[in-house]
Amino acid sequence: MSIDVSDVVELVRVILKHDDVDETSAMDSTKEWDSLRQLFIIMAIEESFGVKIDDDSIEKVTSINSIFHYLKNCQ
Amino acid sequence: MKVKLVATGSMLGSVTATSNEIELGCGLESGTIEKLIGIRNRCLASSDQTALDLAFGALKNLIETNGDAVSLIKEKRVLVICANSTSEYSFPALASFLQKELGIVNGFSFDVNAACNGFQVALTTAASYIHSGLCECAYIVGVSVISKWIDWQKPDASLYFADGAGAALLTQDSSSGNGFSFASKIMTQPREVGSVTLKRGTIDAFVNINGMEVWKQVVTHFPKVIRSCLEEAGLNIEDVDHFVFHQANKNLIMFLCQRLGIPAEKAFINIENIGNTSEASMIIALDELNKSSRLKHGHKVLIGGVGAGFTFGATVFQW
Repeated sequence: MSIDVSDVVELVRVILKHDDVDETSAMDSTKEWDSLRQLFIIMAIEESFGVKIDDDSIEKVTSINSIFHYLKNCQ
Repeated sequence: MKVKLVATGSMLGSVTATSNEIELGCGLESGTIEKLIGIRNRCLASSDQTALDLAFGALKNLIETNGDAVSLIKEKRVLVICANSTSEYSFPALASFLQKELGIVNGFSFDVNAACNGFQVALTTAASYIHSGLCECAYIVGVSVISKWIDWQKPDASLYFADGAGAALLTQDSSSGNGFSFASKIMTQPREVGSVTLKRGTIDAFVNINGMEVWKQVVTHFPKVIRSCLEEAGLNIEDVDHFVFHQANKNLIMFLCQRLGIPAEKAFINIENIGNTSEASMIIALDELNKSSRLKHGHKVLIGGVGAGFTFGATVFQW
């Protein structure tokens, strides 16, 4: 499955209900992207892209960029 | 020496607050708390209810509903141990008040503080004391009246917390056989020790939470501790009948279940109408599970929690 960064942006945008998400967005710079909503994002990533993020990596996938690169490395 | 949990009891704060009321107070959109955390209503202590009141209420409930179990420990050397961090007393230990109320002459008592994981730490401590022969049985109480330390106008700690107490009775297990009885793991990761705090002594002493750090710590370390506890017990996830986790966030519990491969129906959740009662949450949930009749003799139960510090723990035992 080919993954485009726009797929990740769209997924996060839908979960956060926040239009201003783009390729540079991250938890520490997006007020709406808090730890409570991060749960939903991780679950949606795992389901949508068919991956299981390992325990040691899960705390690091906190930006569009880091999620995208994690998914690319899984391919 | 094997140990056995033989009785439970609980008491909740007597005031019910809806999440709508909490949201109004801290400026959140209606429905936010239920959607993000899963709490609809919560139990708060009334203005005249103290931690000691709730703790003794939970013990009284245990005694009234488990007369047979309680009568069996007469004449035995008893430990009373109380997990708490928000009570009205810095000293003496709440457990000493409880020992006096229980009329226990042949025994000793002390408190432990491991914040929201306090009950699991107290249970493990009590089991160790019984194993070592220092006592023959133990009353273990978890109590929290944390509502008095929350800034209800801020949308952080106010989302989660509630008040209550739970109690359990742990005894020596004299049944024959070498089968599984009790296994426990505790691990503290102090690197982010200041992420959840209540620093008393100032006029605006409130609970502070760094939600992001809590999230990172929980998702990274908690599954490992649960797996490690099961490994110690020689069990797999599928061998356990009930998982009773600290009731901090319904979505987080479901998330952990998904990651660990725990079927949703095996996770006991009661946060919806109680809230996060900190030290009391696991034992209140276990008491509700016990009284629901879903808990049968021989069932294997895993309780697990995370507390400020961060202290992670899991205990698996046979009912």
